Amino acid sequence: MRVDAPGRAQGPALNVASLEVRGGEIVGIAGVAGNGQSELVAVVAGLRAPSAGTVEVDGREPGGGRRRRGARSQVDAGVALVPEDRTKVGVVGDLSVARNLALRHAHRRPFARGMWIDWQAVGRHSQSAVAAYDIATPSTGTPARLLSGGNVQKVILARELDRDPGVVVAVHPTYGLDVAATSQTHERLLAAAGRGAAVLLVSEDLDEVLSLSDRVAVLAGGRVVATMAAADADPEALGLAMAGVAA
Amino acid sequence: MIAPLRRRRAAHRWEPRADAPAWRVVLVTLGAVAVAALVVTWVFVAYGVAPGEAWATIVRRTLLEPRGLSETVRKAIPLLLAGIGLLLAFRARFWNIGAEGQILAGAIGATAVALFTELPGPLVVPAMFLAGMLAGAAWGAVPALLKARMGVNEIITTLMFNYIALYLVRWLINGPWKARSATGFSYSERFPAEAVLPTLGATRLHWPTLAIALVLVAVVALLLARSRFGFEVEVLGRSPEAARYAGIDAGRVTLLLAALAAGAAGLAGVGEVAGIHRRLVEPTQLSLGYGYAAILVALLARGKALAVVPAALFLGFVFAAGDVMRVSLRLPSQLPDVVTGLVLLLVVASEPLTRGRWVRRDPTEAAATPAAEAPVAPPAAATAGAPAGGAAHASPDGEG
Repeated sequence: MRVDAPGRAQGPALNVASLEVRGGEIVGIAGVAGNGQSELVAVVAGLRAPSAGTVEVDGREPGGGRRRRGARSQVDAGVALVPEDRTKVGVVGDLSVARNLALRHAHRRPFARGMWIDWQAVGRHSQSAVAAYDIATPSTGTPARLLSGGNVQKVILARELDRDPGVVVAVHPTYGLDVAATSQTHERLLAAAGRGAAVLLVSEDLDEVLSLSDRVAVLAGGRVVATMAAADADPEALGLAMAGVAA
Repeated sequence: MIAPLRRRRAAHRWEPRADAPAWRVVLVTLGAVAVAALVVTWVFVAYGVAPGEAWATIVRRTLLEPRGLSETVRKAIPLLLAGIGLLLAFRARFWNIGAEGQILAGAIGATAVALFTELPGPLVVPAMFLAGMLAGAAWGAVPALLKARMGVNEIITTLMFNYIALYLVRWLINGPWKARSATGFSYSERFPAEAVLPTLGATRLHWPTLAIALVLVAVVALLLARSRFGFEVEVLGRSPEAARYAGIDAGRVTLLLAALAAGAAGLAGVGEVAGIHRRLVEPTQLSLGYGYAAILVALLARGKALAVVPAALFLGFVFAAGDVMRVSLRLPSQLPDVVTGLVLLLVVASEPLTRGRWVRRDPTEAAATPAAEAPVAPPAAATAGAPAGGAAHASPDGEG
């Protein structure tokens, strides 16, 4: 996956970001909040169109050439997103766990049959996903808002990772989770990379970024100011780069 | 009591619930209707009409006599059509207040076909329905486009479009489309026979429109329950943020819904001119506020497509009862508006009752409160700072 977004300067937004994440690799984004992380995520996941520049997956622009279809082009191109706000964005609280597990894929097989939705297929898929991702819920018909934060995150992970996406974007994936849910989330992300996904990890937790990532990219003022291998990332140098001090 | 600002601690506590069971919704809605009926009974008394006799007359003339029943159903037709459309629009939080204008737009479209085209006989009525639907949809699509492209508040624009449609009809029947015979009152030329809808026997029940309405309700119910579009509407209505994340094109869905809703209202307008008036007439006679009452139909149905049928029949009854009150009981003609207004108010106010219940406070909890407070006060008696939903407390389901 590759992002080139030499966007126009708009506040602290993404200014110049050129970033490449290879398949099987986890690239962590280090940076102080508000330095372009959410803009980078929005552009990669298709929630926002870059004012200039491109996002390429496997050398192609999702929905390329045709009129942009928002996040759907990205979904179809195999871009998964574990969003920052898991209860407001990641799931629809009033809808059942089963429907939330189909949320971003309801327009495709096996859930869609032409213009109709095969709710039985949605139900069957939810049963297996609940088992595979160890989601603690009274039933697959339970509204997602009644689940704990950790289980909501499992629903999201199950939905986003189950189809072997080519690109995974995870934003603060373990924020507010307990130890067990945190380690499970880490395992899932590592496993996704192991299956060949290009993983972009955005986290406030520098330890998390350093322990999971192969490479770390530092975002400051909307620019990728440094990239380094996580193994030999010096916390002090990282901190200076994050503060915008030239290396 | 001297200290009006001190909030008395009620002996009961409001406990919200996760979801509203269907029986509870039905019970609360019936409760709201019952309270409205009580207030109307009081109006009867205030006007010196014996309430028992008044109700007996109303029931006989709207439900028991075949002719009266046909009037009730006949008035439910535009409410069904406009109501099912609004239900769709409201599901995606498109607050279309413009069904009244869309009904008028549909009537204009039908009239144009009836008076100014040379189609072979059997094609005239289908062409009128098509033209009316398209005219209504076009009328509703403008506010939807303004909302989708520029974020213009649809409540304002759809409401204002009602007035534009109203004066457009008035201009047509006083200007270019005015009948040669029209003196005094204004109206268009009479529709030719092939542009008039058949009715059931000697009644004014134009059954083709009713059939279209029922089919439409069934189609919408199916779409909402089983289609991809229905799922998108559901997600969009419950969480616009999640909808964007799910790749749902909110602008496209809103536009489609608004056009569908307005098209349904347009069909209602066709039924009114082709089934009842047989010409384009004064707008306030053409639609007796059906577009506004349809908002209540959609609210009463609470998002359930099939529930539009009983809701529309109920408001059809209110409209028919209004005629009885005016003609047989000689009560003011504004009374039906009072009834619909009351039901609207009570239904909206009783909404919290469907989603929670009063539970008695834990005594230990009560003991922790300052001694100066009244120990036992039912919540309805709490004056200052009455809890939300207290307004509807008269509903019989209140203590459920």
